[in-house]
Amino acid sequence: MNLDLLQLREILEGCYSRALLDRILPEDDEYPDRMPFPGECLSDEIDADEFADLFRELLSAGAYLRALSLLKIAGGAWGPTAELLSLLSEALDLSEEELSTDPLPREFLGTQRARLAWSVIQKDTLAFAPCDGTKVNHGSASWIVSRADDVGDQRVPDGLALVWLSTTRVAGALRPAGARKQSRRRLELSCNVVFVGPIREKTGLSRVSAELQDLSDTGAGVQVRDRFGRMAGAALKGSRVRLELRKPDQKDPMVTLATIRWVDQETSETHGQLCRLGLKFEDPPPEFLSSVEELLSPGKGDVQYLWSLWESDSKKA
Amino acid sequence: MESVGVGQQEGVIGELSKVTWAVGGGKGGVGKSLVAISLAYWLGRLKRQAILMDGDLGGANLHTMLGMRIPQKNLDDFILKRVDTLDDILLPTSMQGVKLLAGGSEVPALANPNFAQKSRILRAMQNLETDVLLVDLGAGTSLNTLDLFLACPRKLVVMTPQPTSIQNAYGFIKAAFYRRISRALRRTQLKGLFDVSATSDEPIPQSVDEVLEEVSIGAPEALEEVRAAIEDLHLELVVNMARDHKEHKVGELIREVCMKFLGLEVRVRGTIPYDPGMEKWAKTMDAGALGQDTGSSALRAAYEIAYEMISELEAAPDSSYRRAA
Repeated sequence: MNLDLLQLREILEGCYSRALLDRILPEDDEYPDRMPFPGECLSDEIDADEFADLFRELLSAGAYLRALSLLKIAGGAWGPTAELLSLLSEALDLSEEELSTDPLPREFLGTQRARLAWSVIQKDTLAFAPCDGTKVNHGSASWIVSRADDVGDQRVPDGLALVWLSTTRVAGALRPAGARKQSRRRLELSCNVVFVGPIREKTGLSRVSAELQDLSDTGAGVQVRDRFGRMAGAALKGSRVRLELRKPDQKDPMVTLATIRWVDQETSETHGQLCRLGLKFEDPPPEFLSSVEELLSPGKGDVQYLWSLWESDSKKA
Repeated sequence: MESVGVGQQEGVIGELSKVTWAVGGGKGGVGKSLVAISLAYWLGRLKRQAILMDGDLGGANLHTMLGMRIPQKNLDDFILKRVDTLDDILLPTSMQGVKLLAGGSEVPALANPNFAQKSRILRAMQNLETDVLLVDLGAGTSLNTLDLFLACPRKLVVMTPQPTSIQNAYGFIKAAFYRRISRALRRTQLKGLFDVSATSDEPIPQSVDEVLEEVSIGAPEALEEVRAAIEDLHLELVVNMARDHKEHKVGELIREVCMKFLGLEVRVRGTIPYDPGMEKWAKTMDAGALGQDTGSSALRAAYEIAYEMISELEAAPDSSYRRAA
């Protein structure tokens, strides 16, 4: 069973044939419905560069689970695995210390409970079920491929799924949050964007009122109501701004420099010209970051939202 | 009153009759007791029988507001089994059609009753003969307060437009929400889902979506019960002491946040304007004097709420509520 690259791609895209599946997963007396994914199953013919290209293609599409699945299928001993795994860890923003053979739990699991997790390969989704670890006999480190509709007492999705037992304990891990590199929390707070440098001279833009829409510890999304159309057509991308935002319970604003990474403009019937800016913070001061951390801390989102509504109402009044 | 099986399930405080209204809220001083008294006043004036119960088990003082410095009978008599029923300790008030069930102070442990005591009180409440039972709860989010609040099928959360009160009202609703779900999960492996353990940094679910996701994974057998628990909460807000248009709208803020983060449909039942006359009245400790100020804007607003309460009780198809003659 030497899988070539085309067959690998078929598996990852969900276009595999039943015959291929049967070939990958031969019947086994002990585990008739599920099989450890055979190690060293790749064809010797596979070109390492082409394999790496496929991996990068998945990575750039944000298909992290499929990318990881590719590495799992190839097996840890295969040549470029470690190097590609580090790319995945980088994409998921894991530190060197957290680099392991299974970087997903921090990003997707967010749990300390022992669980079975399964990835429906071609759909790039991940689901979990609690498991005490005794019902699955393949050990916590290995992956298995399931064709059955249950693993132990747990149902798994239809189709080819990679199933593994995770007891990874990672503090402060995130909930399944899609493929974003940095998790962003939706927040609605008023803020000011102050243009600095050449863009200010070219366009006459100085300080504009804006609404913060989402926030992470590396950047923010803000929305500006561009009443006079001064921002339309301006080469805002790459410009530097000072972002001033004020927590509802704080007198002084939080301030940091930022670069505009993307601009999205649209005309709204009710609000006129709207301009959304994606900002990347530049060397944010520690006090700014600690305030951001506080805003992002779990359990406070609802209260922050309550205060943002309160503040917004106060302004209207 | 109709029977719905109070305390029939082990470890659970059951629900009271549908004519029982809890008047609660996280913060002291927002006017819970005054709102409860005003509603009872109007229920009486609208020819209904109302019982005002002091549900502040650790700090009963509703009787004081009604002009009784030392009530002749109170909940202590029931707890200490000097009487058999709560009917035996009902006190007349100078408000037409309104009786008082005063809280006790003789039994310190009553501030924190055990499950058997709570069940006994709730069973006895179930047997009270009245058109409407208004339970004036104490401040705070102690489990006993939350349990009594949750046992009442109709729940008013009183708040004022003060920022601290807004935060407390939301905190109270959230605490009640989590308490209700915890009880729905008590027999599953997710029991203790919202407990903060010193040894665990497992994040606690922070929204209804996260709760349902956690339950669907960890205790799918309880998913329907949890959904029903959330849908059956029937929370209502009363904004008290609102001074201007903006303050009249603060209930909407709570409503929006509850919907967005808890998935809870919270209704703004009404707004009672700030009325210095009510403060003056509270100092007189004379229930009979309530309503003498015929121009009281607060009482007018309370009338609208009371009238609506009665109309809804009468309109409810499954109600045992009897129409006034």
